[in-house]
Amino acid sequence: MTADMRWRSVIGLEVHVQLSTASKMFCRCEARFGAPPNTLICPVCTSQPGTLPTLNGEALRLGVLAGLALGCTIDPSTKFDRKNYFYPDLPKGYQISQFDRPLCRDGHFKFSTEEGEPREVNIVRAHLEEDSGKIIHPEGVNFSLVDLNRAGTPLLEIVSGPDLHSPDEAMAYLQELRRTLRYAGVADCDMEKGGFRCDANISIMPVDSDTLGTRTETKNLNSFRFVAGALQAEIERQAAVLESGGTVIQETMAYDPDTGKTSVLRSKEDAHDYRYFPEPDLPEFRVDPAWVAELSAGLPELPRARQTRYAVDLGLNKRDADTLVAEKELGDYFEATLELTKKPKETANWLLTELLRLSNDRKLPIHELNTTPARLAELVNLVASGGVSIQAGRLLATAMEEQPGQSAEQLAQSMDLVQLSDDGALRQIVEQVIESESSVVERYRSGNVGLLNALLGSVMKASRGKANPKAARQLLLDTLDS
Amino acid sequence: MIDTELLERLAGLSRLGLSEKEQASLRKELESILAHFQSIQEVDTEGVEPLTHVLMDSGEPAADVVAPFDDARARLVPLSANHREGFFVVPRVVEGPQPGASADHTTVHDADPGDEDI
Ligand SMILES: [Zn+2]
Repeated sequence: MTADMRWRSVIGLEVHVQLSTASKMFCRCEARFGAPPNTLICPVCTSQPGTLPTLNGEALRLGVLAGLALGCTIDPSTKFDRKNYFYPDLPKGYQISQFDRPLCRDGHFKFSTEEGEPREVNIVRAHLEEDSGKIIHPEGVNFSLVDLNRAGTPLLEIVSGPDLHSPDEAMAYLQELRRTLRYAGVADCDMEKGGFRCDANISIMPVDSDTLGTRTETKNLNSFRFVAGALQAEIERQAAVLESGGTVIQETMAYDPDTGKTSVLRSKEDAHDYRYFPEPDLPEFRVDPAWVAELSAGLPELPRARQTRYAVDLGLNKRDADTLVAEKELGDYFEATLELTKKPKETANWLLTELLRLSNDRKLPIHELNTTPARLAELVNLVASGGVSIQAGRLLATAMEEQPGQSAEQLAQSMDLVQLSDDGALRQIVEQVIESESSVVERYRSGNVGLLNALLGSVMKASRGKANPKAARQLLLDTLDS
Repeated sequence: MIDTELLERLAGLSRLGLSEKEQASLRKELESILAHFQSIQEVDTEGVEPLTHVLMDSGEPAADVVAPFDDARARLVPLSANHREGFFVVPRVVEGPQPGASADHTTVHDADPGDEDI
């Protein structure tokens, strides 16, 4: 029996998301990843004496948008607090955060497991705060280096309830959270750049119990793979402790992806005393309910709703709906094409095969290809109307990308890909075949109807593959039966 | 009452090393501050909403427009006691970076068992 069968795990996640602002949270330094050290700093974010913070209105707006996308209640008036601790990446000696009055609280957020089971997580709170700087630890020296470019970057900390019950569920929640925030335009959630970071609270209890176990916190999980690994490792560690008669201690853990194990980072005795108090340098900010309603109305369709619509209303299969919704740009591209074709399945097929192939080959995001939604629609419509075969359509897709000045139809003509579906040329070929294959026709007419396929093959051959099989078949039937 | 244990805890949280003489005078000051708040606490605040700022709803957020501080590194980094190659230099705060993490964010601190909760 694995630990999964004997123990029920209870997981709550705290996610830190960097908001997509141009400037920092409390000063107008650029908020950007990857600049040379300490080039994006100023007297405010390095905490020079006498400087004062000013709140970035865009950070507030994005925080509200995120709260709305997570189904939260937005505080009509929000305030900031100081969270006091000393560490070299925090020049003020405190972090400006929100303590008792988070901007967003009491949200309900829906997602589905890998198997498609619907789940809901409570969002306890989501609050604004500033990021810290970065500390670099060179090898073999007795000092560390501090880069404050990141200090003051706006963050939203999103705290879920203890509502997740397996690493897989936690992953599904994080994926849905990430794409929802991306759709809402709140954050790009780029994990490699530290734009989406996760801490996990984990406890386990026997499957037949309803008494919560002691929880631990595993910190600083900065990739989806690490989250899954850390949760599994910590659940197994706690199960082993309990099964050997021990007790789980409330501790902060770190996960080592190399060993796949969690270990104690600090014990409860070292727990922080942050001595929060209201930030005296910033006033309270009114969050006008009318403005919130306006932002709510302006929220785009969120991925879960879009996915349901694609599957239910448009009849796409789950895999295609999932793929189209994974990135907003792809879904938007699909919508724009669909507008011109009104053919959901065909449009999805061409987009997810040929266009993604072109995008991969050319290493360009889909919306930077020469093939715009309007051009893809030309292709989809040309194939659907029988103007070219599916095989020819594939060749055409590449040609259209290479020659953006030519329409699908022009290229089909010049590449000699136009299918014979019109009466004239095709009828001629059909009549020729019926004449030259008279013995086959004889046997067909005397009841061997299976021979129709042989005759169709001859028509295809005679047309050098250009006959529209459907039209040719119909024409053969009409001619033979007349 | 501010006992030695509490005073040492506060000093530790504030990263202050206090001599015995400083401890004695600080204890006195803190006790008088506490006494002041104790007298304020006698006011009956039943039914009164907490007030954190005297000016309510006065905040007007700033526009999100980048305004760089010119020559930031050259002007700000040298203000620190110790710097090199454009970085601020601080006493070693970890045993070494943990594998697999962005160097700054999964660290075991020996100087300070806590922090980095961001
Ligand atoms: Zn700044």
